[in-house]
Amino acid sequence: MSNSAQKTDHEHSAHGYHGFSWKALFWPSTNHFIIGLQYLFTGIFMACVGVFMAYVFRMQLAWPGTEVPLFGFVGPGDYNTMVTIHGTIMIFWVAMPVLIAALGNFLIPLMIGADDMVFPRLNCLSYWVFLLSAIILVISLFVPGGGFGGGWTAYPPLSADASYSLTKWGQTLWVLAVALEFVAFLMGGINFVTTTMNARTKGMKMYDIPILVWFIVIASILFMISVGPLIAGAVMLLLDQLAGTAFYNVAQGGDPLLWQHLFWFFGHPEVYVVLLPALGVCAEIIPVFARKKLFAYKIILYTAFATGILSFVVWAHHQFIAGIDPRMANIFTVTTLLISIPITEMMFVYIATLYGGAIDFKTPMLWALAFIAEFLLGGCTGIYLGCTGVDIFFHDTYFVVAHFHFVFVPIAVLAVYAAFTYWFPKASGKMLCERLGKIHFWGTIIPFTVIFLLLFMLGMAGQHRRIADFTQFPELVSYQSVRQIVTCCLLVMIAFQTVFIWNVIKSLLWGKKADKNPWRANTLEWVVPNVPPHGNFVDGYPEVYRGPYEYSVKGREKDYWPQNEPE
Amino acid sequence: MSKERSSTTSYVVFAATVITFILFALTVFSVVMPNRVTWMMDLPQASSYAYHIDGLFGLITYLVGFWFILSEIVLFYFIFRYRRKTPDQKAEYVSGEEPHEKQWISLPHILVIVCDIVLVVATIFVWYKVKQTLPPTKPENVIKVIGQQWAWTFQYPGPDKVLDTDDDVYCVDELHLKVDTVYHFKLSSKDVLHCFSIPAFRIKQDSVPGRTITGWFEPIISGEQQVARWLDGAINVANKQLENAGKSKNTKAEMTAKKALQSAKDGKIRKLVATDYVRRVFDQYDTNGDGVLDGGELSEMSGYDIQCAEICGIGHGLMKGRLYVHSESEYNKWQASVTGKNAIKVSGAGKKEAPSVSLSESVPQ
Repeated sequence: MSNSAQKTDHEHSAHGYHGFSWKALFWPSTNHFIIGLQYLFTGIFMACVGVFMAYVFRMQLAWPGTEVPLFGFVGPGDYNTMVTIHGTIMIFWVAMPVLIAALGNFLIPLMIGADDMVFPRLNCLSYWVFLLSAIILVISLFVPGGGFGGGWTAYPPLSADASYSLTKWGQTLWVLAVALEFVAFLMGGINFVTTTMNARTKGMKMYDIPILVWFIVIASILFMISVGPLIAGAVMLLLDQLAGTAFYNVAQGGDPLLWQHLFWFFGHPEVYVVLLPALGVCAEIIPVFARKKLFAYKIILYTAFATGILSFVVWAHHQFIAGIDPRMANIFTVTTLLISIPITEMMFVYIATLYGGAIDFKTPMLWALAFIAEFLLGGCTGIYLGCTGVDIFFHDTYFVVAHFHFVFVPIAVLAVYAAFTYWFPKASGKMLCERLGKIHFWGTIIPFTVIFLLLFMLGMAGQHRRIADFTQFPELVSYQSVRQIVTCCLLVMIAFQTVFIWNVIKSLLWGKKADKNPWRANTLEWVVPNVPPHGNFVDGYPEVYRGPYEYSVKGREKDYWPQNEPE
Repeated sequence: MSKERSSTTSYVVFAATVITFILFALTVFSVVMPNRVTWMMDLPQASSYAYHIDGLFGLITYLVGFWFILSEIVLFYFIFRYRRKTPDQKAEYVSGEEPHEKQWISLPHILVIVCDIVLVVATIFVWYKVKQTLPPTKPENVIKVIGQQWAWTFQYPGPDKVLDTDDDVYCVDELHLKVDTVYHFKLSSKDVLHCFSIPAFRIKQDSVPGRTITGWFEPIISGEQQVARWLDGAINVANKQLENAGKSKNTKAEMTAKKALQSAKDGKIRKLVATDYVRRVFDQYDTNGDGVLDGGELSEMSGYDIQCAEICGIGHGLMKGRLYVHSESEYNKWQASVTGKNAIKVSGAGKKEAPSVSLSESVPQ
């Protein structure tokens, strides 16, 4: 646990600070800031692809069989590809790169007072492998037969045999892309854990580490432990597809359920892999804008550990009706309800942090509060699905879709916007426009809530997932107007994202210049100059004297107390 | 001091007793005793365990809903109460590490655990009933359900009441059942995973190639009873409208209401007097578009959807079936029509299996 460098005179005059250049984004770089931006921009590009797909299949659902503008006629194969790749992209190529890789790369060295990651070259390799995986996934949409359409969970035998799925090339490229993506994040994860454990600046003890850094570390560990079985599973799937092995083929002695266990053994911890950094973002933002110390730092940390451990024993709740032994389902229902306990506690802690605050509703704070308010509903509806009895009815209905969007949209959209608007001044040196930020916030949050509340309703009416046209089911046809409202809300939500893009462009070009510490926050990233130069702490490494959340301490004039400020 | 403590203890005991009693009563009321609260929009509760599943949904809604609403109220109250009014407003310093501060987290937390325990007990009760028990039935009520890309095949034992004999009856995408009868289904798949789902029955089970999974259901209302209920509902509505029209002396409304009442008594439903569910699905069942639902249309309407709930290839969305529940006599009629000498062709019945769809030839290899 020693700090990496205790000398205060830093030697990057040796390699020199050249200032930030856009061109650097297009070349391999070992600078954690550049790599973070590379991950961020790749993630944003993939998010655009994913949103476009959501637009296409929502249009098809609302007005089945009509031509969708910018796409054309949506065939059943296209529809399956859209829902499959939308899910895959949003989790593996948006939530993961933006929340873990971009935030981790950008913030871990800054928050712990290090000059860079401890393995910069591995970090660089991680990004380029990730980019390769993204390119392969996009290419897979244009190969003969079209992209893979077996759902993002890729259950065999459908995904293992081209004569069933009819996407010989698409499915193979899909598995390849996912496997490469995991390799990239393994390399990133090793870096995050090692850097946090070994490269902290002088005086930063374990309980002085900001919650966000802790959560990215826990998430990386969860990812590294859980991904092994899935990579094994993916290799077996690849062999089934290409070499004619029969790991998942019953006729030759395999078992399709094997994949489900391997997939969800990874798949459920994966939820917490992206959830924890999002919760970490809120833990950084809420104290700053409420001017309050984070309520019970240690409780938050312990609940995160508990969540992480429990997340390994709940996976089969995705398979209650998949043909597993019904007695086993009871055990997984108990563990699933157990995991609600630490998460509930964490939510209580966040709410308690607001008590006695002086809340300033700047845009990042609005996003963070919206995260809590919306995620509460996502979490609570999870209880319905964790209870075996009700899951018999809800499994694979739109209730599930609405539930996990109430979890994943707060994670991959609300928390990401919170983080983006909060750290934008540090990364760019400019302030975002508050007014546009608030228009964007309300224009996103209202349609989002309406969309998924209505999808809960459709799920309760018995509407199942991944069906391209519900007008053929007599029980469901009359809900067509609800589907059209959902699609219209999605269009509104997409339209409001242009406000955000305009806000970013406008602020970058003509925005107000940002101070070094515009939000008056305590953590170390606000010590470095805006647009962190290579090596970060140009004025020497800071020394840490206290925890990161000392706001409004009694008897002090200033209502914040930076970690590196002596008494 | 000790007196004070003992009175606190008695409060705690009292509160614990009240909470336990409320939770126990809620559980029994929602899950154990069948009650006809339908939570799932207006989806019919057509099987014997649909009430239990809906009741469990209700129980979760009470318990989780309480905590959800409480959390949101506290969250929004704090957001409102502690908003910054002046730029130099000072916040309080609360570390959250002191025991008297922590209890604000730990006390609700214990209550949440209690709720979790209640939910575990209730859900296992329902799960055990639906998935872990198999009520006895006669061999003629055992059917096979076979999923394949992209059709459901239902195999009945036929006249000899034994499955897998030559006189078995096969139906494609159409399932006919007798009311108040326990059925065992043996679910299997020919190719990929499918999921046999009847939302009105609340039953769902994946079909896995290489396995035969046995489950059960018991339809509790026949199509004929369902139609009779809708007609009763229509008559009630028509009578009410007639009464209102008479009060307001609106002769035109009186005429239409009378007409609708007469139709309802003749076994036809007009949209004007349809009850909620009927009104919602009216147009799609009114196949001849005359604004009246009559015999054939009504009996079609009393059927239920069968969906495939597990993605199974490009035809997944088309893998739909229809379920009809008959009274004993109607069921026998149907059975005679597919098994006897004069067997007529009901859609797909009699075929050995669904026509196999071969799309792989048209796909580039």
